[in-house]
Amino acid sequence: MHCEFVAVIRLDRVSKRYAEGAEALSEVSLEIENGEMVFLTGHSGAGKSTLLKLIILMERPTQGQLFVDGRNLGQARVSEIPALRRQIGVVLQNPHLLPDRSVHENVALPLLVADQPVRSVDRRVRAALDLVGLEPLAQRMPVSLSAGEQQRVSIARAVVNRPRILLADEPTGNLDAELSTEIMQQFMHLNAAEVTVVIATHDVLLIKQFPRRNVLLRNGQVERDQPATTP
Amino acid sequence: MRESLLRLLAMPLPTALSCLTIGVALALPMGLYIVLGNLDALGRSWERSIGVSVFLHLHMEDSRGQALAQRVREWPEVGSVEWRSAQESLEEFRNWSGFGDIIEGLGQNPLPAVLSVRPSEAFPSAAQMAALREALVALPEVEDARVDLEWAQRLRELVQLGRRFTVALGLLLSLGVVVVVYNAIRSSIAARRLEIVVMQLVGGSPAFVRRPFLYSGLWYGFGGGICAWLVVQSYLLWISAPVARLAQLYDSQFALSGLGWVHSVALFGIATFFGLLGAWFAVVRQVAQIGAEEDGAGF
Repeated sequence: MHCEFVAVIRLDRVSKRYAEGAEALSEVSLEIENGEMVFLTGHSGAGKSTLLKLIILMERPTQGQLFVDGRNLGQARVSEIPALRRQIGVVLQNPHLLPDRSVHENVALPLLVADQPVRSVDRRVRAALDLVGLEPLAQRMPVSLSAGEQQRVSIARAVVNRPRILLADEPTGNLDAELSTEIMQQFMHLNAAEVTVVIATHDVLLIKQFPRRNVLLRNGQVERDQPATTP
Repeated sequence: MRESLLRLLAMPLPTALSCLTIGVALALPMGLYIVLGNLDALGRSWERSIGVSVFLHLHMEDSRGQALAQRVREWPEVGSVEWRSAQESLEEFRNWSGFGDIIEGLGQNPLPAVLSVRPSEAFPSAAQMAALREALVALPEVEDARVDLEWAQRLRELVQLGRRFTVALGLLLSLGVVVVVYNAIRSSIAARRLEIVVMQLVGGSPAFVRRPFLYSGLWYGFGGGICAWLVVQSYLLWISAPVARLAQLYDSQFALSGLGWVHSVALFGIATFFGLLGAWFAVVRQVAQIGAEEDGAGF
């Protein structure tokens, strides 16, 4: 069974204006369905990162309503933010691995903050590392890994909590074409396991290589919402 | 908690310096407090020997003086009475003053018989001593009576003043401890900024993010307490021998008392509390700031 067509992320006329006055998003309405894989594309400053920040509750909409898994995030209390974030995995351009912790310890972080039992932590970390093909490197330190391996560790960290949604902001921005393809394959693999994946990128080649739904943002508005096409 | 300790031990020099600074800041008021406690105990031990020197009329017969001593001994407020005849007083003065030849030349004894009256109360108040003196002066056989209490009262007042000074100094230096820990934790937060950002990103609650830093503050305080304890104990050990020798010169059995377990526990508790307080101030302010600047995460 593949995805059920229920909006797991829904933006209803969402605007975001920063304190400095700049409007990053303007009345954006968008629905992302459960198990879907979506590219958010557009130039720098188009509003891609702001949209992701709103979903992960790093920012609040100035106007409009944003629902994640049916929950209106505009009404979420500050004390609820950590729990809501645990339901969403995040991969960034820079993997942000803690240099003084092993690969295993880095991947275990989301489980530790969620107070998971120690026994299940080890099992789940190994499973997440296995998913990205890095289980043999569990005890290595991040500095000894290649850029691609580091990004794969950050993907393992993002999915170790088994989130239903995975957000990625320019995840291949620091990687060459070969490694980018490798990382994208990881996302495809996760999406196949019914994880909703939203990737903000301006890498046109990548989008062509992996034809999925493409939401093009320009000046904080959705300019084009192109459905997935077969390659 | 163990991890926080290991992190601090992984940077032995900065940790030791912070703990030493906290230790010195706490050792000063704690040392003063202990010294004042010893002074107070010394004053109280001397107060036990406080009495009223009662001078009888000159040339009074010894039998009258002894009878008076017997009468006064039966008063409830009197613990003991020692009678010293005029002749004994003269002998004592001759031996003590070294003016033997001059006294010989006087021809007659200028000193009266004396009663040394000690109160029944172990630690009589100034009012009790004054009342006893008044009662003794009122007796027809008595010329005059003196209470040597003033020096003890002065010492007691000085100790009280010293205690207040110590409390003020303690509060001031405790503020210093808070500042030292605040700075140490602030540096630690700055050094672990990435870790905090990642923790927040993966859903770490504010309490979870704050916890290791609060533990660090706790360890800093406890380490500072150990340093303070060592400094105070070493100092007391260092001066105990000269103090004992000085006490011997005054025929006293006085010995310095150091930090007992109550004081030691109090010192560790206070040090740990101020460490925690400093860490709390740093964490609440700094972590909230990092939370507001999560852009650093790369979004």
